[in-house]
Amino acid sequence: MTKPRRTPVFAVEDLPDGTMRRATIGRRTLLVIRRGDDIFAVRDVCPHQGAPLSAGILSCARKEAAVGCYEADEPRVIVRCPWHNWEIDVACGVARHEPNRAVVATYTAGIEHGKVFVEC
Amino acid sequence: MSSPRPDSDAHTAPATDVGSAYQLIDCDVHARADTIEDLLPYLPNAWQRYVRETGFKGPPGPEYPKIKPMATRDDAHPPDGKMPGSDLAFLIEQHMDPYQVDRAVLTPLYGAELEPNVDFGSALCSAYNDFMIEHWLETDDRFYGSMFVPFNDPEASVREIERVGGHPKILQMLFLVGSGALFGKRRFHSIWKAAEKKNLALTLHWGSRLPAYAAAERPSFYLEYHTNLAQTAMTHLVSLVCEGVFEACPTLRVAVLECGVAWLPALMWRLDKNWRSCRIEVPWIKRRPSETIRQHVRFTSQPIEEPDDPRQLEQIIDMIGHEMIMFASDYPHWDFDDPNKAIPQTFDETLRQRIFHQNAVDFYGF
Repeated sequence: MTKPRRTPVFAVEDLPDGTMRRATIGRRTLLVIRRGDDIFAVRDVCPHQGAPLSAGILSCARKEAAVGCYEADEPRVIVRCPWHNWEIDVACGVARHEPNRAVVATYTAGIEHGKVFVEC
Repeated sequence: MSSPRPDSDAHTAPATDVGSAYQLIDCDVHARADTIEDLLPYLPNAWQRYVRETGFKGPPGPEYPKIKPMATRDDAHPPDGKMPGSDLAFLIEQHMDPYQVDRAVLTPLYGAELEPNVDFGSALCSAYNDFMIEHWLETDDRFYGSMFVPFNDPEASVREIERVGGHPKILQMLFLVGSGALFGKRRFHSIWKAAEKKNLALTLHWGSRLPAYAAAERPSFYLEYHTNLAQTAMTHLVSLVCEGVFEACPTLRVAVLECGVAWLPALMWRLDKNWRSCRIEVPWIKRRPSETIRQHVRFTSQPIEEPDDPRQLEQIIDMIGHEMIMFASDYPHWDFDDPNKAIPQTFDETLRQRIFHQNAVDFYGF
């Protein structure tokens, strides 16, 4: 198994806080997300019917709360699929409703020397 | 000149005597008070006078001629001229004893809970509950009961549940699916919580006393009405799940009576699929809706769907879950299911035992 290679994809200023952006590394199309100093990278394909997640909405999960309570779970960053609104947790790649059945690949990502990098 | 023909298999196949084979539990037997006179002794004086002075005979009847008078079997009219289901001795003679019914859940359909005057409706509910306890539940060990709750007055409903819901032979609250209300709504949750404390099930039975139909306008025919009320049951079921009733009441049990079963797989698939997309609306739903339904809800068999090939029905029950279906005859109504005939004898033996006995034992805690 080859060791993942660290590849710079954007300058940090090209991925402002609270945004996501598509990146291509070789034949892989990825979605790179920035929340504060945290960078996440997932394959840009919804595990449901293959929609490009990059066309969806960057948001956060809702806390599982009592009936009638709506509370944002800010630390849990999700991407909502542009087609069927599935919620993909970008930290682990799972669809939140089916954590054992629907998963998208995730990659190590971060900031180094003013660049956003992804390892894959 | 026609040739003589043998009976079809449906009539000639030897019937298993399910009463002796399975300790038969019938989850839908329509005992009923004969007339308002039966209830008068249980009404406060003011409401007794109201009944006499207004000529009130009872909640309005069904909006359709139901094929047969009172929607009952032609042979179910007691010899004393009373209403079918109102003569307990005749009910026992015609149904309980011949089929060796081990336990019967009595489900009177009256409509007291739908009276527009909620105070009168509350009094009628209480009167019916007291009548039922005295005349049915405490006269025969085999009978268990369903209580009326005036759901349009949640505080009165809770008081009634506190008053009689702890009776050891009252198993459930009984509502009609066509009640003009959607029972998952938040305004009813206090009722369900009170019922949960008393270990009462919430039971939704086919039928209506109001122009509350499944969809669009009033259909022309009873045939349509009878068929489409399954839609209303679907609507309640989805409402109960989505409004978080089972999160608010984690031990509440629901029984859906007389609304069919074959539609259930499609409903669960569809609800699960849509929940995946619309979770933002209902963050309290933490797992697949179908899992919630399978944990909390049971369905009675009658009127069981009758495909030409009974194996197809068994396949559908395989999809639903063998623990989900409880036998019901619907005696004395015209669409009665004969215990010895209605559930195909080709069904797996373990499944038949579950349908005729075990599922009701598990659900009602007999």
